[in-house]
Amino acid sequence: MGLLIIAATVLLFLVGFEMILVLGIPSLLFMFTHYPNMPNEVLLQKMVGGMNQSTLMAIPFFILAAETMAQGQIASRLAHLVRVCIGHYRGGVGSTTVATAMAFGSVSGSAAATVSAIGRLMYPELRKTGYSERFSIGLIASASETALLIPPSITMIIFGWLTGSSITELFAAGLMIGLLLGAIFVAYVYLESRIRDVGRLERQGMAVRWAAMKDASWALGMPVIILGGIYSGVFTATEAASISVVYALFVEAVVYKELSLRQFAKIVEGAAITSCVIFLLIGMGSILSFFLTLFQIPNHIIDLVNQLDGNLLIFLLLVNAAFILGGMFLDPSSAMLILVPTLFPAATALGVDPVHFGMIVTLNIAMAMITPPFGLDLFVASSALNKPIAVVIRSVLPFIVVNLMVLVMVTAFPGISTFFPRLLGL
Amino acid sequence: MTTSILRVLRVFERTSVVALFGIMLVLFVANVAVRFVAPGLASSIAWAEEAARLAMIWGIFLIAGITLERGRHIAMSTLLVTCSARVRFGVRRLVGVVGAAFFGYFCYLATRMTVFVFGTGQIIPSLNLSSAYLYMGAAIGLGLLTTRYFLEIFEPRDPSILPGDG
Repeated sequence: MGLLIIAATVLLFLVGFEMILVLGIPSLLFMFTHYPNMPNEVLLQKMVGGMNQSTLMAIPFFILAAETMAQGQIASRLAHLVRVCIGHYRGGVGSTTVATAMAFGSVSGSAAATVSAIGRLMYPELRKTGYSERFSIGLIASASETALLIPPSITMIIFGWLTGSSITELFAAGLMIGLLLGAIFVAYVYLESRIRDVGRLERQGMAVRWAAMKDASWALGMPVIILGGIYSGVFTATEAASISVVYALFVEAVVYKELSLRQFAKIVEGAAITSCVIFLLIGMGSILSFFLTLFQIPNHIIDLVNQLDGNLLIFLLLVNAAFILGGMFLDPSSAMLILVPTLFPAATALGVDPVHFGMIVTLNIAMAMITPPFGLDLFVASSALNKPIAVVIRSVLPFIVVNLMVLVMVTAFPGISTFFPRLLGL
Repeated sequence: MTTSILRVLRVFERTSVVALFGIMLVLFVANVAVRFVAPGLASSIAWAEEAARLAMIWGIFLIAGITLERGRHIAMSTLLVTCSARVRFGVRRLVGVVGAAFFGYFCYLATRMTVFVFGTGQIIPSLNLSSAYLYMGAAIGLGLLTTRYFLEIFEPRDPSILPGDG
């Protein structure tokens, strides 16, 4: 019967049922067939209980802040500052794309929003300065992944909630991994620019740079509030998220005078819809994870891992394989909600640092965003840049190789993930 | 008739959600601000975080129907969009039937929980408010979601059209 339910679930998924149904229906069927005496209200308790968590309040706040900034001036002013400061170096436009994606990611936390915003902004410039169509598309889609790693990261908040790990520690580690991934993308850009002699902008004078700095000064306050507030211990992640909304609203409405009440209502509605998508998935994931525990799936995984004689590296390679495969077919939140509760107990039993495991998961999730056939950012890039999906898929392939290199490094050397949180004494 | 009811419903949902998210933000930020400005008063406003979370849960459930209507709930529709219009609409009708049954059942469970918790007198301590209000938000929101799935049986959404802001 269990296999029949799993087969039916796969069918629902392939036919195009919403993921909330794909995650919810098997739980309901498992309860009817395997636990007929269980009170049915448990399903609802697990769903609402999963959503009603203090930690998760950071998600709607960060989404609200991101929507405010994306529709206002903060994001574009940050992008302009980066462009005038580094655009004239070899590979400057490519590096600007990476740095802008990182800057935008540091205030938005959404890879899809970053692809959409950075794509329209940087694609014409990349093409104008000589980069090929494929390289330009691949770079935009891939660089946007850093948004999931550089705090604030909704992926890390969900991971922290699923595993009880400290979100502050995860954010600190994510900052380093995000910078590492960004630096390796920049190195790749430099190599491409050197080989083809492309990708420079005219050098801007000090007056232009100073003006850009002045224009972006309020916008620069955002990462200071989020990162500075959290790492100095002044705010928790959720508090920093709420303050970042107030700051974004203040800057857009009062300083830049770009935000009307009607726009504000539209932004709130958009943020509520995005939050609803994530929270209903979390609710359904909570029910599914309850059944995974009842079926003792994590214990079975631990037994399997013990058969590997406690070989940590093989286990982590299997974790990567599971996430890469999961990410190829599932959206990031669903992949996390299914795989993290299943694999995390085995990881801790083997002595893997939760932050290290969190970074492996987040990097895989980030890569899944551009992994064919169903990586979300592939479709966002296709829509934002008006390019066929097949072209986008071909464009990201070299960048997936770059990602895999970083993934191998992060998997093999836990210190890359753990040194910065330790340095901060977290 | 259905169109007019839906229009009124949407206005109710959108207005409520904007208000609830606004309340959530104001209460949570007030809670943080009081801790810095007047630490002595922090314990007297401890209810604010709980109230903000309740507003969030209500807001998220109340927007669930509109989220479906706009095609924003994540689905792997890559294969479906390659099919003919007849197949696409047929599948969406099937999704409507299954979705309405599934969330209708969850709405029923939420309603039962609401009534049950009201009966037990269980409260959220910091708010001195019945815990049933948490499940009431779920019952209403899941009801709205069920309605949207039910309507899809008669007027299926074309999955090949990308989600919009409406």
